[in-house]
Amino acid sequence: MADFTPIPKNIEESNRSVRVFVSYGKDAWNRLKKNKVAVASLVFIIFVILFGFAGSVFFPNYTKQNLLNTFAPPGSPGAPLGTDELGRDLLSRLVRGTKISISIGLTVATINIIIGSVYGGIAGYFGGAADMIMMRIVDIVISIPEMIILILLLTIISKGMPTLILALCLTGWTGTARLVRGQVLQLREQEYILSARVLGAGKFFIILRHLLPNAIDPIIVRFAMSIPGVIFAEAFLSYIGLGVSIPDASWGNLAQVGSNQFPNYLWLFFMPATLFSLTMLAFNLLGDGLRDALDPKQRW
Amino acid sequence: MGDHMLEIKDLRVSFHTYAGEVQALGGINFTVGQSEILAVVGESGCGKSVTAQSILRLHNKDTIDYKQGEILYKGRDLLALSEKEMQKIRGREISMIFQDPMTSLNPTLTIGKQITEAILKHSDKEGNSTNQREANKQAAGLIRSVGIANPDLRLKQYPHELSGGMRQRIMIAIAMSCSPEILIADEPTTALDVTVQAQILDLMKALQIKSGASIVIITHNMGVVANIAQKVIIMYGGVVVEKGTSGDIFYRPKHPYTWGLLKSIFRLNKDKNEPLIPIDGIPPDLLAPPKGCPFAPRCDYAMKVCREQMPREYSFGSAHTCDCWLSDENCPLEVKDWRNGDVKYKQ
Amino acid sequence: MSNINSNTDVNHSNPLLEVRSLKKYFKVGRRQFLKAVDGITFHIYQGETFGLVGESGCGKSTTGRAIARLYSLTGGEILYDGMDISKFKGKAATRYAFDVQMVFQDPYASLDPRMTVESIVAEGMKIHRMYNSEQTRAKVYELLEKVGLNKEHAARFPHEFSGGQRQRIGIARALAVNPKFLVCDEPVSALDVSIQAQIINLLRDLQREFNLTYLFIAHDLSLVKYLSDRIGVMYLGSLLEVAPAEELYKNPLHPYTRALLSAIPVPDPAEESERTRILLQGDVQSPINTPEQCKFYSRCKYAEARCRERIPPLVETTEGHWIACALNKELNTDAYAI
Repeated sequence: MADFTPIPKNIEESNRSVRVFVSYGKDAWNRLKKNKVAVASLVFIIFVILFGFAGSVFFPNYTKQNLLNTFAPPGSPGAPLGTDELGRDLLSRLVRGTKISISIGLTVATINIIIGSVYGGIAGYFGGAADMIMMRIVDIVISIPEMIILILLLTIISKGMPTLILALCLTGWTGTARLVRGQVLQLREQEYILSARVLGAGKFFIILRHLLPNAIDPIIVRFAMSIPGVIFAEAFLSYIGLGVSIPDASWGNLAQVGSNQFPNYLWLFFMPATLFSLTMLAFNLLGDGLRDALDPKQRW
Repeated sequence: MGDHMLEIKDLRVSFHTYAGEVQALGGINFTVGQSEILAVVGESGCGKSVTAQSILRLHNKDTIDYKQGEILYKGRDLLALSEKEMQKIRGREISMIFQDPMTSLNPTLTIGKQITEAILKHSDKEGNSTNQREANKQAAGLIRSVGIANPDLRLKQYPHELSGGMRQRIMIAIAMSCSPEILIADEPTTALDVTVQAQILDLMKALQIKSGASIVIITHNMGVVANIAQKVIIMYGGVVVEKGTSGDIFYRPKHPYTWGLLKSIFRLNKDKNEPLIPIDGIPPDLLAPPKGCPFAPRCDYAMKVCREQMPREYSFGSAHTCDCWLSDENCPLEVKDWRNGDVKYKQ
Repeated sequence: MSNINSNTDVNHSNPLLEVRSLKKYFKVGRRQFLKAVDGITFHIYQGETFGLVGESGCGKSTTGRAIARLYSLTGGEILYDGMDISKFKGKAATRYAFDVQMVFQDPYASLDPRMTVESIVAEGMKIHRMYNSEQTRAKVYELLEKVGLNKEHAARFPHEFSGGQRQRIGIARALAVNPKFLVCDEPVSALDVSIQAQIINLLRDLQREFNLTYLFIAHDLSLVKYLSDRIGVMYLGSLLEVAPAEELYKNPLHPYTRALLSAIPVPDPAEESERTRILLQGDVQSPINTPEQCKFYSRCKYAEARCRERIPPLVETTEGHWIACALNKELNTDAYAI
């Protein structure tokens, strides 16, 4: 028998949300965690970074030659991954190469993201003539083939890490600038920005409090996605002898040394090449995962 | 009764989302008669659009889950048809227009191209070949029939060159091009201005009379309902709470939600001093619908039973039904006048 | 339930806000201007609700935003308390930001998704360093209660709320700086019917409590009529008619206002089937480089040669009832009866 006793209406209950409340970042993190490929990539990248940086403490002797023990195969005593044509321990060199390549990748990507964000942010927020001129400059920079600038700079100035980083930064920021400008142009008209303006907020306040936090997602994705490009450019330049030069090591010149011995001492080529390829893949997959995790359309 | 064009029987639909299972439709029943204009009314998230799109099976197969029920079109269950058979139904037997005509037109093709393509495609299927010139002629005739002057010029234009009202006319022209038995219109005038809305409603009524098609119009605007509908279905929280003729719903409403809806709308002739009575609270989140009647937490007349058990469908006369415990013969409460909330206990 | 009868006291002696020959053009191409607002004049008294209605692209939102100082003007001036708002700088600009606030249309775009409700509501107080952090928090809680939310909501993010609740948050944010004048730009048009009524009642209650003056912008005439003391009807950048709400409804003069009123469907099937409708032909024309003539010319059934001579100015026909039509007083005669 149904109970027809009247009860008061329950607006509190109706207003209560049944969804779990999590902050923006945490929500994205939860989504990233569900993506097994991205998590595996992240773990792998952390492993590679540890390998390069912590490893250099344990295997510092990457320049130590031993002409009595050249081309030792992997598993030899004192050289778990073998030695190269001058008897240098490949493991130590790989650790050093990883450290150098990853450092360059992270440094250059960071600098590019910062320059690009500031540049694009200014162009987008102020708009008008400033935007026009700034973006034409970007067009010009983009239109010059990147490799030509890189090779020119490295041959004119000097080879070595600082020049390499400078050269890679000179052109790398343009993509980010375009991306951020587009973001800012779009965000600028959002009603919450208008609201802040009506409340009397200054430009700086709006950029810091609203524009940057809301433009950060694609910037993070772009950062992750740009690292493999930088590492590849570095490797390529080192491979053709314009980047990091022997006796110092990077993935590029290690692969170059290895390829010289191809196909006799395969491990010399395949060890650095495999590590390099897997790292590139991992960064790309992580970038994809981040993009999905940070996609506003995926939110509910 | 065998004259139903469309009969929806105990349809239960869920969506699988990142946040969990959203129970979009919790078992709905209604019929669409021949040459009838039926309005499905409700607030956002009440399931009215899901119902419309389920009829044509427009949802993404990966996320939708038809849990139970049937959608019978002339006696055939649309949910049991293969995708290929469904394609024959779409456009030719049942067609649909949407709220935003811009998203349903291809921006890179001229209006003429899009209409003639539709004509050619369907004439191919019927086996009689129409050539391009005939199709052009038909297209011009079609868009003249939806009240667009200068059809030859319009056929050469791209969607963005036309106004919103004109685009919606074109969509109606395309939808009606194969003389469908049922036209589903999902908020067809919501994106349009009132003066244009009036034109589109008139056009739909005129076309309905001419073609004899049934129209299912999804809307949240009670004014539009009063203007065009013969029968009305009120939905709330994924269920049908009341259905009846337009007169039943506007003049003899039985469900507290319908009362609330009618009391909270703005009327031009409403006096400034007449209080505006909103329905407090917000509609339920269908991720976790409340037990019992979905409206109970916001209902002025809620009883214990409402929070425990979904009421059955009670009938009032031929077509008027209401799913509310107040309509139960054992319910001691009687609402004398819903406008001022006068409640009385039966003897 | 609120007592609707007691509205705020309207001070008819001097207007709080005056808009004079306001023009706002947007450059959209070489020598192409979108004339969003093309010379409109009206004023708003202290304590009243002035409704601005019109269909999409009529310039009503641009007018609201110009009043909120979001745009620089192409022509004309806006006076607040007798002072030209475009000349406000520094302290005066801050004072204006305290006095004049805005409630936006889209409850999803008007709240920063990255900020908690607390920091959203507190934004104005933080920009102007009005209070210390404890006072700010107390004030936020107080405002949330005022708009029908509670302090448990403060730590949450906008996406956890429904449209109506978000709009309440937006209203709390505007109220935080103790404004006198609120520009409400379609504040309920994105909400469901039953929720619209909640927000309208809230706005009415707040108006009484804080003695607010409203500019209420909407496309829905029945809603504007219910809420406003006086109404202005806009069409394609021009203000065509201004009259007290009841007068506008009972005695619309401008051909466009008449058509607009008759196009609104009434939620009553019997009435709806009996009504004769003035159906306008065609659509609103493009607002780009509109000619210097009556903006309604192309759709007006009474159009004559004199309608093309200039943009008709707003003229007072009876007390408080202004229209901008070349036919002017003749509209009251039988020849132009509805």
